[in-house]
Amino acid sequence: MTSETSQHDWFAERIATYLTDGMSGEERSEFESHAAGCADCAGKLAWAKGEDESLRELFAEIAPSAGFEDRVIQRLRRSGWKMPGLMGSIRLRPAVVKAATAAAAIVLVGGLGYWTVQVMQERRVAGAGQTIEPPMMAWADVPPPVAQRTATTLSYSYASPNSNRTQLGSGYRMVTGLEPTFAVAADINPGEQHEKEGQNVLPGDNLRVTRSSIAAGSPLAENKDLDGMASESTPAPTAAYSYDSELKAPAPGAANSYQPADVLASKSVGDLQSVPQQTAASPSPTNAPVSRQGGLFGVTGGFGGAGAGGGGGGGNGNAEANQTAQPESGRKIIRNGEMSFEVDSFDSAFVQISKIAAEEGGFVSDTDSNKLDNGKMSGAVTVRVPPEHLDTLVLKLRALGDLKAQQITSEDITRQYTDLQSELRAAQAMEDRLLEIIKTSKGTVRELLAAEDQVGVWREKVEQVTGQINYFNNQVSLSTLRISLMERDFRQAALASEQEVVDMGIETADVEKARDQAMAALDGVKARIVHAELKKLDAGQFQATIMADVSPDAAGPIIDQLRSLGRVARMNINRQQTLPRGTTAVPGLKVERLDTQLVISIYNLANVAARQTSSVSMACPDVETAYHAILSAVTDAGGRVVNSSLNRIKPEQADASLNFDVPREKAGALLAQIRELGEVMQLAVTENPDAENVTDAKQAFDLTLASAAAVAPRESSQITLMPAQSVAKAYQAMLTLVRKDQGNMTTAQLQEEPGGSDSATLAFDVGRQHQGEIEQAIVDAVGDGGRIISRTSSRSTDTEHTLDSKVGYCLTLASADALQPREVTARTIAVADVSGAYGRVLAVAQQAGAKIAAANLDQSNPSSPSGQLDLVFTAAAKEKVEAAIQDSGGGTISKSIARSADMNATTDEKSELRLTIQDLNDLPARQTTTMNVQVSDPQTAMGDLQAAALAAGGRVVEQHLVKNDKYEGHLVVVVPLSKGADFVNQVRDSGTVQTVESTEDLSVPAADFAEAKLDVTLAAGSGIVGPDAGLWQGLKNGLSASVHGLAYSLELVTIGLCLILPWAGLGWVGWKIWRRFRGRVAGGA
Amino acid sequence: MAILRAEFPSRASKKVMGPLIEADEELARRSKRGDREAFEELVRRTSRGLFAKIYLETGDSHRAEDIAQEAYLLAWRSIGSLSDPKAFRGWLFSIGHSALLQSIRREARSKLSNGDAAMSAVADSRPEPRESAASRERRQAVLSLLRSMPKEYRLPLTMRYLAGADYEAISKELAISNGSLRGLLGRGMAMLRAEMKRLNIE
Repeated sequence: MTSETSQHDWFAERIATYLTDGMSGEERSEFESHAAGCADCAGKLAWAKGEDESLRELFAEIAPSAGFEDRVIQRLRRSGWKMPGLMGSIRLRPAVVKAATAAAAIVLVGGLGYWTVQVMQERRVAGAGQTIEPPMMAWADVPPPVAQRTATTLSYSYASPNSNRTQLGSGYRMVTGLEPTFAVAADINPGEQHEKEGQNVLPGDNLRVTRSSIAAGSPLAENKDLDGMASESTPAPTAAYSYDSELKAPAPGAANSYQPADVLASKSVGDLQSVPQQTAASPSPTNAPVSRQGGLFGVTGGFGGAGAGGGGGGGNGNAEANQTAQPESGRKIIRNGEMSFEVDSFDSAFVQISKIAAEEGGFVSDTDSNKLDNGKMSGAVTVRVPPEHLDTLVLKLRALGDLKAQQITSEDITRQYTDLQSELRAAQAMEDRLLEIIKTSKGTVRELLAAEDQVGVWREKVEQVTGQINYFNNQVSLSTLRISLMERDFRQAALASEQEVVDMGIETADVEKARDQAMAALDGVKARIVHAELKKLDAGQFQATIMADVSPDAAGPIIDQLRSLGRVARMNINRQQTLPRGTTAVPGLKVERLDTQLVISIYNLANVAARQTSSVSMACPDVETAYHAILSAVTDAGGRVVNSSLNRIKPEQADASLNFDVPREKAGALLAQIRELGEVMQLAVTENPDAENVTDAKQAFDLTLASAAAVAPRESSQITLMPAQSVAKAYQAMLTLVRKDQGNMTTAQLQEEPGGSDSATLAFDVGRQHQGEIEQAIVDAVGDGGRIISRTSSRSTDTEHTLDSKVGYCLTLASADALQPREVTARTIAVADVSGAYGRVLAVAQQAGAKIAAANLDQSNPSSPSGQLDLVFTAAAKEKVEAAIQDSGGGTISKSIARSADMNATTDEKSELRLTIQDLNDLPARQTTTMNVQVSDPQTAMGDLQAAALAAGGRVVEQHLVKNDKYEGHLVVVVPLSKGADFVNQVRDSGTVQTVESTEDLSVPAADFAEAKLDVTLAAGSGIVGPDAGLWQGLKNGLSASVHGLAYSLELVTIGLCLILPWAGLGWVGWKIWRRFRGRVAGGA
Repeated sequence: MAILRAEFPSRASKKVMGPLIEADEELARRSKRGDREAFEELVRRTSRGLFAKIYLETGDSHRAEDIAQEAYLLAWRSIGSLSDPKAFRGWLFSIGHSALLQSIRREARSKLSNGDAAMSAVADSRPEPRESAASRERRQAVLSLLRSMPKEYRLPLTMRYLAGADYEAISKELAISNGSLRGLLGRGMAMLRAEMKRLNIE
């Protein structure tokens, strides 16, 4: 404000502020005053103002109208103030939506991709069989792997003319005939085929040649391919080759196979025609997908070449043209062969071999032959021939005879050969170097000496390698064919020898004497005694063995002589013809007889078991006598007692055993003698197996003696009888009789009792001859009025330990009284008056003549007396007693009747009654009913019930009335059973029945006297609420209901959370997105 | 003079700006807690500035108003994401900007769907009623001038002319201190006048 210019500047700076009303009062007035005072500044202000206004006017139209803020706020309010916060923050941002969409798209695309992959894989697996094929190899251009060329085996197997063709591979084809023929698979040009073979086939190819000789015509007919040709085949044996490739590649499928076949007629070998035939290796359906390579190499070097030549040349059968191109690549191959023939004559075969070898440019290098005993020759010829002629040679040689085996081997030694050459070069170079060093002689003497040594070493090496190379060259340049020759019938035997071996066993009493005689006899025929011995063994046994060789002619007489020495127990004559080793017999063979070999053994019988042994078991009346009699009889018969024993305690209990043998011829008489001494219970004859140490000359006995008295009779009778007269009399009579008959009394017992119930027992056995007397005595004892109660006769099946010569008896004698009643009745009755009934029944029984076995009345307890009666009476008395029981009143509680078995000593005429009399009051109630009744007034109810019970004919057993907080009564009454139900109903009517429990005792009969017992509990009336209501119960019910409700609501909540919430959320999100999208579209429009 | 000039702004800022900024911040904080009144107050304080800014970009007042409304809706919905209540204005303007961009995109989409050519200009070319072609032309010229001006001058001038705000309103809306606004306004107007003169805009 001090300076004029600053005043103007100040003014200019504030024009804008002034125009926008940005000045406070003081400043404003200062500004206005300056404008008023300064025209220049006023002009500026006016201009600025003008501009400002024009601009403001310009934009006045577009400036938001006055209510702009309000409109914005209105809009905010209209759109509902979507509150930021919980829900607001969840709002999906576009980015999130995009991300989610992208994720979904990725998942979708990924899923689609996965599905596609799956589908494709499935297809691939399904179609693998058809779609995957190995690439077809360009077969013509693939040379065979070198490794597989290295070893070629040409093996030959012979098959007899009638052998079956099945031994050949399925791919076998055969063409016969003199003219070359092609048998070619349909789609392959044979010419082309051969061209390719020419390129690829090398002699070293790995091949196997199989030859089969087949009777012409017959098996060929089976080959469909060759039906026509079969007729052309000559009747001569035909050789056919089948070349099987051994290449590891499987055979081609049938469609790919081809069979170019050539015919090579080998005219020079007579009637043999060889037909090399190449086939594809057997096409097996299982290894279908293969390259054609397998078939391609099915051509051998020599034969293949020959075949190709034959095919090309047409009829040039001999394998000369186009013979195997020897390895132009400098391959070194050693080819060797082996053949084996059966020929008619070795010499002529040798001559032929020499001739053929010369024809083929070879020579016989070795021969070796030997003549056998039978005049046949065998040997080997080794032929060396140029390798290319080997196969022809082999073919020609086949006419030599029967070919037994053939083998051609090839060995590719190219590598070794090359190695050797390198080695040689290296060695030579080394040698040269050393020689150079020595020549120039620059080193010390010692060094020179060392060098000389080294030269020697290397020289040796050079020689060695050169030798090896030469050997290889030789082997390669000339093949070696080794021919084994064998003349026909080479194995025929010249002479057979025959020898007899005689093995004799002679039993004799005097071994030494017999032996001396035998030796003398052998000397007489000039036999050669090889071995002679005499042995004395234990138990007086002698054994002599002689082995001698005697001329065959003298053998017969000497054997006859030996026979007379004793009993010939055995004789084996074994004649055997033997042939020289490795030969076979032919009819009409000359036989040489060799000396007969005699093996003689002479022995006595001392320790030899008898063939037959008789085991005898017998019963003798007097064992001791019999024992001694037998011993003396054995000695008389010239027998030998081996073992004997006598065991005598008492004469009737003695037993003895004897072991002896007697000469066979005495055995029968002895046995008869023995039989007389007693009764034979068992006789068994056993025979030992017919072995060497067993003789027929004697018989052994194994004898057991037992006392006849100790042996049980076979037949025995058990008899129970009631004699007519007294038991004692019958007993005495029987005893006397048995003694008289010399019976054997085992038991005799008489029991006499005062009551007349006597009984006796007799057990005895008597001789069978006395049986009738005994039987008569028994009949007499029974007499008139007695009877036989039971009789059992038994005959034992045991024959070995029983005697048939006597009869056993077991008699039981019993008087009528001693017999027990058969029927026993046990009966229990209940009566009101026990003692009265007891007295009455007892009196009636006595009156009726019953036997009172027991009678007992127990009145110790006056309230419940009881009585027991045991009565035995006849049928008549029984009725009276029954009536008496009936009269006594009361009822039967139980009744049981037991009948004993008929066999026992019982009688039907009597019966027994075991009666038990009980007091009625002791009977428990039939029916017991326990009741709980609520009545308004227990006291009155109780009185009523008591009265009712008495009225119904019952009685009150127990009653009491208690008063705690209210009356409670307990009443026990017994009423007749028939009234029981009525009474229960009455109780029911008296109040509210709370529990009723009724039990029935089935052991008490439901008779008139049966009673029903009632146990009634009477209680005063109930409270307001029942027992199942109350605070605690209410609480419990409430809690239970709450828990149920809680569980149910939990279930609902869980369902809501896990099922509805996710869907609802999904729906909500979807709605949001849709809304948003729609809103945006609407906004955009 | 230097003293005076130094005194004015300080005094003015103390009197006017201090409580204002604090109140802004406080209002933003309250809005964040869901206080509608506070947000309404914020709307009142900032709506013209936002409008002007958007108008400057669009050149179409109706659209600018729509977009501004949209922006406030957006702002209210996403007020939770406002991290610093002090920076409410900047945040609001950025929301306004994105609302504008959204609107442009939407327009482009609808145009595409209607088969029209792609949008070439931000400005709306529809003729506005009640105005002559000349004034429209001039306005566009001034707008493009304004757009080309530095930001610090552009905003106050935009407020002044486009939103019709007076000094106090400008200072409030832009939250610019009294002293600096004076300079900005003065220089800005001078610059604008000079430019108009140079480009011969009547």
